Amino acid sequence: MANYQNQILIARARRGFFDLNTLRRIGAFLGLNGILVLAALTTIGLALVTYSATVQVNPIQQFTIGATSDSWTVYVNEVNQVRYLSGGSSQPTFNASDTDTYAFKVVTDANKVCAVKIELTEAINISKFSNFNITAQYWTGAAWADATLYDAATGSTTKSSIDGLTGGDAGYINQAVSTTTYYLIKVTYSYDLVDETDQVTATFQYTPLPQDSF
Amino acid sequence: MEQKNHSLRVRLVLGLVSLIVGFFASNLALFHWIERTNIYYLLGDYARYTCAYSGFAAMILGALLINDFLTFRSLPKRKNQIEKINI
Repeated sequence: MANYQNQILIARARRGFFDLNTLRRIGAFLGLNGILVLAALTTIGLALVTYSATVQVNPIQQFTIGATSDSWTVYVNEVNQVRYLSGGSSQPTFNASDTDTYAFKVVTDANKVCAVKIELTEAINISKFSNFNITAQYWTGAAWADATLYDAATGSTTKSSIDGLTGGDAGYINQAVSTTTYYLIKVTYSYDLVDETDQVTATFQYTPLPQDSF
Repeated sequence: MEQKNHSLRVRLVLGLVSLIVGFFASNLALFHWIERTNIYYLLGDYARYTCAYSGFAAMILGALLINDFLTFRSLPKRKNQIEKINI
């Protein structure tokens, strides 16, 4: 008996599932309407098939802002004095966990270098300051050292400082791959043209510009 | 008899499913179809029309299956009643 049933199963397997008899049985079970319904549902499924691929996009932030405000005291008739952002009249004691001890931080991975454009949103009043030169410093691990300023996001032409008295003048620091560096803004100024004591606001703007290379 | 009841139940379920799916498919094709660039359907430009007409067909045929269930479920009772009367 069991051998006979096995033979039937083997014969069915050889015929395949969609042989004529099977289709007849399904037709008898569901009726013509049922068969047509299955066909309609299958067609709906086929109509909605699209070719697609999913991509996960993982943004990486290279630039992190440090101190967002500071207060400097300048004296009438001072010449070529230095102020730091942050820190005021002296360089701050660096502390990586304290954002008030640096101006901004740049972290690069192995794929992209990063240039940061440094400029003033509005030029300093030339009737008050005779010079307002902006440079950048970076933390070497033991001390603050002067960073090289470039005149473009890519290229090797350097510039000594950014002229804060000229509107739109900007400088760039270029940071290589796979590094983490903290930067400080250094301003050398001369307030020797007037004896006014009205408050002056200087707003520094940083623009991180990821690059393939310099 | 048992197999016939089973068949009718299957037809009812299939009919309901088909009615609902057909409604949503045709509704999608008629009112919510967005022609997006760079989206390639298996059936190409005919995908929308295929979806719509298949939806209509699914709704009609689903209704017919439900009708089969409603019509044939009472037949065995009548047949039994007739047999009892004959006896």
